[in-house]
Amino acid sequence: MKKSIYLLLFAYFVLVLGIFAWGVSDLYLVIGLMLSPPGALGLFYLFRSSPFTSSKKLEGWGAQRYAERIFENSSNLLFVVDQGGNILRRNKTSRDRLGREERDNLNIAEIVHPDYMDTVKEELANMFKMGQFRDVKVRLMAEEDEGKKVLPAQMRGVAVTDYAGVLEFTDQEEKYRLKRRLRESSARYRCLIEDAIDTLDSGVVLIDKNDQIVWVNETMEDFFEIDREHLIGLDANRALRSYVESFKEPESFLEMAESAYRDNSHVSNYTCYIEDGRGVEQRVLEYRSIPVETDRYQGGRIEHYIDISEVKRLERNLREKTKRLEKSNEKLEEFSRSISHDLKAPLQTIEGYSQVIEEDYQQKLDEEGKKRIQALGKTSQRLRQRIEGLLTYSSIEVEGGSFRPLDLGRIINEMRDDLDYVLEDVDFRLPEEFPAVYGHETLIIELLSNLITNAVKYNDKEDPMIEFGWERRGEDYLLWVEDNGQGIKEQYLKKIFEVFEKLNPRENPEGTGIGLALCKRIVEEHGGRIWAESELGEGTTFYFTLPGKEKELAISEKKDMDLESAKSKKKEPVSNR
Amino acid sequence: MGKNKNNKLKILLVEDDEYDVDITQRAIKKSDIDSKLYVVRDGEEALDFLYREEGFEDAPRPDLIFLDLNLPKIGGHQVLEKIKVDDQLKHIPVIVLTVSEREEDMVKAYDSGASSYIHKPVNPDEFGKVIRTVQEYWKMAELPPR
Repeated sequence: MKKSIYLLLFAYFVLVLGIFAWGVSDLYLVIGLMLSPPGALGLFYLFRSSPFTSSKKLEGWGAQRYAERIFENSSNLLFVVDQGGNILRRNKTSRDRLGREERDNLNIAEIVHPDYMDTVKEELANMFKMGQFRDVKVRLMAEEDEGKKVLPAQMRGVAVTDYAGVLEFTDQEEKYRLKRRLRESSARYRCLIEDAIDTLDSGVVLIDKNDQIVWVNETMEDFFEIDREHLIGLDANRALRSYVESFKEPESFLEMAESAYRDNSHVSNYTCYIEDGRGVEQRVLEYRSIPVETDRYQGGRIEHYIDISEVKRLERNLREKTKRLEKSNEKLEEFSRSISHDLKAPLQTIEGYSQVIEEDYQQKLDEEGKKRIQALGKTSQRLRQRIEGLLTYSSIEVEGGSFRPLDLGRIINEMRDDLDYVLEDVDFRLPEEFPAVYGHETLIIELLSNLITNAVKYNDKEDPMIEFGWERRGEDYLLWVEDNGQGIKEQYLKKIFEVFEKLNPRENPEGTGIGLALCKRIVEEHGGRIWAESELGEGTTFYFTLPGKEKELAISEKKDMDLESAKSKKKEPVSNR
Repeated sequence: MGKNKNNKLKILLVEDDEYDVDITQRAIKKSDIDSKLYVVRDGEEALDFLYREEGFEDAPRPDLIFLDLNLPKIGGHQVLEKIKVDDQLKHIPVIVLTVSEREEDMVKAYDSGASSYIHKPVNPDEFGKVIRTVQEYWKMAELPPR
């Protein structure tokens, strides 16, 4: 009989220690097993006959060694005590934690805080009566170098025999410290988060599953001039009614919000216009109401009122500006249409009549007359083309397909024929080869003819000279028109590119003052730049760059001319007669 | 104006622009169309001429009308519409001559019953060509009996 009990016990310990050996590092489990009734039974047999003095019976048992090790190495404080509270044995942890010298006659009363002594005595008596007790909070007194220290612990015990039992104390100090820290940090976070939410630009409302308002942030008070203390605890539907009167359309808002409460549905963005008492809009809010789907407030809602007044204001401004721009564009288009008609029509008449005269009065005109009539026709034709070009220019879209590779040689030669009357008696020097620039033909012609005409117009020399030159600059070209004219004072070199800027209006009354401004714009429209260098009395050189191939053309940032805004839409200039 | 000499093609030109009138006259004169050209300067005059009212009591019924679209007082489209709903006038071929390049003008003109729609050329010689083309066309097509 005895043998079989030992066998059973052995099997039990093999099981326990097997678990232990597997790496179950949680000693609680092992201790728990030991403290559970069969474990207690085991201990009972282990300690049955004063196990600390004569445990010879068990000496051969590896099991006892393991039990010793479990006892010694437990991270809890373990004591074997008798009914009088005398400590028969204690483990390493208890020695480490409480730090008292090893004595045979140490009593539990010496290590328990006096305030808890009654509890411990009571539980001890209980233990011997009932066999065990569980989880009682006590405090132990530790002796450290610096003096005595209170150690919070959780105590449980199990009676092993009628006169001995095991008391186990779980150190609670770390747990308490963690708890305290957790409490502190959660209080801190709560404070920070509440403060953060209070200072948000959005109003926030938290509603629980019973439709009661749990929390309202400070922003809500500002938005609706309400006291949040009054709102908290209020039914959400009632709360809504208390501030909805400042809404522009309170009824439709209420209907929407209440149906969302009822159906537990999302409201992702509902624009509310908040007005003061006189119907003046104060702010525009975007209302969002989202059902809470997890945790404590599941079934409740979080609501946001996001201030979008500024966005709305900007939107409105933008709309107005766009409208104004569209209007001014329309006007400009109308303007260019009327220019197209009003300027082109008389020119066509001049052109037509010069042709008629040339044809019908061939016999009556001498060579000079014929030549002049031809010049008249050509000039008006050129002027008409220029107007057409400008009108096209004013209505082009920069991205438009009008930009293509241009043979500058062809353009300049054609232009030379056209400018024959201008270039008479001028030493016009051209290079042997010409580059192929990437550009808008009408604009490039306008640019070059402006520069060349200027070079002649402002030339006071007896043998006027104009030289056109170029060189490659990476993918672009640097081009120039040089003259030996009167030159420009340095301080005017920038000014001449401004609209209607004429340096000597009396000397050159026929100038429009728009030529160089136009040149600048044309060059900039091609992504290039233009500048002049000059020596007074010696001559001026206008330099400009043009692209050699297609690239992203930057729209000139300087809005030099009003024409700029007219180019948004491409529309054929129309004229009716 | 009164009575016309026998077979001359009576053309009514409705045109306010002096130059266009002149060039049309010149082109017709240069062509060998045996014609008489009547010129009115706006839509109101054109209708008076056709209805023989307000100083045009003796106006003949034209065989062909050259009609500009952009006219003072009453516009070309309106004149065309009035002609084409009038039983007395609707048989008269109307050639719309205009500088307008707007497609809707052309569509509208044809819808209203224009016989032809011609862009007024800028060049006087081109204008002559147009008149000659019209002449060729009318030579082949029988004009409605007068």
